[in-house]
Order: sequence, then C-alpha cells, then structure tokens
Amino acid sequence: MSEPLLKVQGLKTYFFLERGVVKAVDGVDFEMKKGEILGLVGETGCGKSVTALSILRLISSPGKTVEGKVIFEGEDLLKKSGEEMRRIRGTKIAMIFQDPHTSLDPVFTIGYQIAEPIELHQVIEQHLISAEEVPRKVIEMLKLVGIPDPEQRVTEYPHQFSGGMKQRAMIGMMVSCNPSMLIADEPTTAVDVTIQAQILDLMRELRRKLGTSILIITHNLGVIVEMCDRVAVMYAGNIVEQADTLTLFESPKHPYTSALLAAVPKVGVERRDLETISGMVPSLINPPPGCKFHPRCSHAMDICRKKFPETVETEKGHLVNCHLYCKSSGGVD
Amino acid sequence: MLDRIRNFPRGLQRSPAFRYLRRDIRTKIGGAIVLLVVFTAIFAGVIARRDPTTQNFDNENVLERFQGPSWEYPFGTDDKGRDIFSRVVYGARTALIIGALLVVVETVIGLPLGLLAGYRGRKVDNLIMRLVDAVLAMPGLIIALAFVAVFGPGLYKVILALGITGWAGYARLMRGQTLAIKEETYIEAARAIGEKDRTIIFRYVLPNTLSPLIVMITMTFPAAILLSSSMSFLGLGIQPPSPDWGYDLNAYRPYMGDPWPAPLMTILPGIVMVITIFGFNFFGDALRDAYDPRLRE
Repeated sequence: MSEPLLKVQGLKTYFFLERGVVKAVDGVDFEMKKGEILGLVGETGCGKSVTALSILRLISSPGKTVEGKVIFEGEDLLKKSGEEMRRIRGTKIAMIFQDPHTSLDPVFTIGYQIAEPIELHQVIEQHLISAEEVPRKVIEMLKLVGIPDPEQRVTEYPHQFSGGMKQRAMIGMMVSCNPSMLIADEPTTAVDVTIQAQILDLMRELRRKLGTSILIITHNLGVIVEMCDRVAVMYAGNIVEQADTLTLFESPKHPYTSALLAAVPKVGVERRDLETISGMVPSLINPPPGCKFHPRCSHAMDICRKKFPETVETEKGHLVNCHLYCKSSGGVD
Repeated sequence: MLDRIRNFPRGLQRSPAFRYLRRDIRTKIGGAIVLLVVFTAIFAGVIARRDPTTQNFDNENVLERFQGPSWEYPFGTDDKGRDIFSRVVYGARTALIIGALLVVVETVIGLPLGLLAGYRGRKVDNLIMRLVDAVLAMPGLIIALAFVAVFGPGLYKVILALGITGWAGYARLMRGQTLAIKEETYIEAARAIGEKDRTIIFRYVLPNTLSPLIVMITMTFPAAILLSSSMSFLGLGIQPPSPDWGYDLNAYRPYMGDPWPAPLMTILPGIVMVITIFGFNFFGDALRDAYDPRLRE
C-alpha cells in the first residue's frame, strides 16, 4: 500500500481549565489513505471534534495539543509555522461543520463567501486563476454541489437558503480549492433525514469526482455504514477499535463497540426498552486508570484497571485496544 | 448575465438595505428632518437672510430688540437685536459639525480598540478594558469641562474634550460584539479555509457588528449635539458671538418669564433642537432595521 495521506500518531490535546486538565484527546493513532472515507464514531464528548480541530490546528486556548504527530502528505503539521498552516487550511485540508445555519456568515451573499477561499488561495496566493474567473468558478462550485439556478442564487444571502442548501453551499466553499482531505464534523446532524441522504450522496460523489479523502465525524452509525470504508471507534479520548466498516459491524472486538452496536434499535424486532450501555461516560479530568472503559465493561479483568491495553491487530487492518485480545495480558485470543 | 454575477455584492450590500429604507415610514419622517437640517446647515448663508451676529437697526436707527416673529425676522430678534432665525440656522451648522466630528473621533478610537480587545482576548483585552473601565468611571461632562478650563473653549477643543471619554462606550460595545461573533461557526469556518486574522477581524467580525454600531452612532450623534450644547449652555463651549443652540438657550433664558413675545426667543430654537434630535433618532432606528439582513423580509 502506498504512503498514507494522513497519519496521526499519539495525538494528545488537553484543555487546561481551572478545575483541572481535561484530556479530551489522550493518545490517538490512525491513518487515512488517499481517497478513503474514514468514520470517526463515538459518544458526545469523547474527543471526536477535538481530534479534527487538532489536525487543522484550530484548537485555541485554553486547549493545546501537547504531544503527537500529524503527518499529512509526509509532513508533520504540528511542526508547521502559523502562516504555513494557514495556507494549508482550505487548500489541502478543509472542514465542514455540523450546523449549516451558523456556519455561513449572515451578512454576506453566498457567492461572496464561496469566492472568498478561491480568491484568497487560488488568485492571491497561488496565481492559478485570474480575478475575473472567480465568479465563473463560484457558479461552477454551486453547480457541482447541486444548487439549482446557481446564476441566480449566488447573489442571495444565507437566510434565503434552506438548511440543506446551506450545507451544500458550505461544502462547495470548502472543496473549491480542491483539498485532498475534507473533514466533516457531523455534517448531517442538523438537517432532516431526506437532506441527510442527499448530503451524504453529494459527499460520495465528490470523492468519486475529485478523489477527496473524507474524515466523517459522527455518532450516527447509520451514516457510517452508508458512507465509510473504514471506521475508528473513539472512547474517552482514545481510539479503541478500528477496522473496515463491514468487519467492524460483523465482528466487533472491543466490548464498547459491541455495546454500541447492540444499542442500535433494529427495525422489525419488538422491544420494550432500548439497549443501553450501563454507567456514565467517565470524567476526562480524572479518567479511570488503565482501560477507561473498565467501569462499564462486563468483561473487565484486574489488568484492565491497571494498564491501558496495547494495540492488537486481530486480523489484517482490524486494530483493537483491549486486554481480552492481548496474549501478554492473559486474554483469550 | 456574467456581468451581474461578477458584480455580486461585496461587503456591505447597499441595495436591499436601501430598498427597505425607502419603504419605512420612519425613514420618510426622520430622513426628511435629517435632510432638512443638513440642507439648512450647508446652505445656511442662503436660507438666513441676515448675518447671525449682526445687530439690526430700523430706519430711525433704533436697535430692533425683542421683536416678535415677523416676515422680516421669522423667529423675532434677541436682546441684542440679532435675527434669531439666522442664529438657529447657523446653529444647525455648528451642531452637525460637532455631532459628526465627535462621532468620528469616538469611533476611530473606540472601534479598533474594542475589536482588538475582543478578538485577541487575554492580556490585550485586560489592558484595554481596564482602561475603558477607568475612563467610564470618570464623569464625562466634568472631564470635558476641566479639559476646556485648561485648554480653553472652542469648537475643536469641545470635540476633543468630549471625545477623550466618549470612545469608551464604543470600545465596550465593539468588544462585546466581537466576543459574541468570534464564537460563531462561520468564524471557525473562516479559519478553516485559511483566512488571516486581519481579514477575519475586518471582513468577518466587523461587518457583523455594524448594526449595533450604527445604532450606537445614531444614538451618540444627537447625544453629542446635546452634550456640546450643554457645554455651551454653561459658557464653556462655543464662544459668543458664534451661533450655537446651547449658548443661545442660556443667553435667552433670563427672558423666559418676561411678557410675550420674549419667551419665544427660547421656545422656538428649543423646538428646532428637539425636532432635530428626534429626527436623527427616528432615522437611526430605521437604519438599524434596514442594515440587519434578518429583519429584511
């Protein structure tokens, strides 16, 4: 396999608050291949978004990425200067956000906003196109993301767009400079199901047309199944399991993943109560020692309380951090 | 077609706001008053037939003082035989100059400081805002009076005197707005497409703070007129014989209790002043609504 597009190693991003240090991302490792769609899934507050923002280095005080490497196209982004990083944002890595209603600036027209990254990066910094070509390019982007009547819509304001159209416009804005990677932070959470499907279709199509790798952050397992080639499951600041989507859904290894999958209600199966994972999401200021999932885990052993499990590759590409699968920990294989 | 797209609005889009403004009844009333005052100030020399500082005499060389309104003297004459109408007309010029310059001075100082404090946060914020607190703790009018007492009265000194404390309100407003806007997702999105801090401050944050800023300006503008008038009223603003509403109100005040038509000397200029300030406030309200895209249809 060729060199991965993105390689995150031992990433730790902490928030230094008065009441303690919140270890939002506490040692995250994963890789993304070119053109791959990777899903990052986990409960609210497990560090998914912080991981994404850390990659783009958009964490601001009191948060700080304290350790780790983010190797993107062979270079460590954490070692880049602020100016170099600024030039990477939008051109190499772009990000779309959860709520399309608030991610567009209400005082400017859609056209103006889509023109912004094109003008900044392609006209001023890279001299790829001339200023006169910007409007044409803007309309091209709107067409690409499937906004009807783009010539008319460029002059409209965000409040004249529906939620789904705003998200499309946002995607258009973010892919306008052909980034090799797109981070989508819960792109479908704030829109209804029909629009969800359309947005997901659009992103898949963009991958096909532009070859963009997409990192999808979500807590919606349905989105994962539909979209992702591979999945990484996050729990309390760590990735606990990653595998091909099919493998993960068919044979989850980590007890947390199994519990998560079991919690999805199934159509056609009558149940009075929904399956839940007992216990609470641990505090990220004082996380439990060892494996952070052990207080809620039905398979917890002594070693789970003492030592964070190493990464084990149970089969090719299926990585799991659980003592159940560590031979040295006395787990069963 | 491409022409229209190429010109898709950049920055503050004028036309929709303008269209909204034209439909608003407040614009019509307030705007008419504002226009009238501005027009009067510009063409004071044409509108007022007499010099505001000349004492007038009749054919027998008698000083024409305390005259009631007439064709010759629309607002009558004052204790020194000057045409009150001329004084009110030229006073409009003084009032507008003071209002406009004071607002400019306050905005120029307060706006960048507020933006910087809000966007940078931490030390910069602390430094600027403690300065603002200190300035706001001082009584503005008294400081202005002290300033004038030291450096002497006069148009520009009055503006400076009021400006050295007046900017603090602007800084505080802009900081608050910036703090709120800074947390919006579209600012995060702007950072995610690689915008520079400078661009984010001036092209993303600033335009989103404009409607409260416009409200602030339209509120300070008439307030500035009132403040400078107060200073003149106390004899520390515009110096006689230059026409100024505040000074004249004070000069004519002793005759308020005298028999008719002497009270008209204060009543008529007073009414003009009230209408002017009302007009500016009214127009400001309409402007605020027009510049807020969310309030437009």
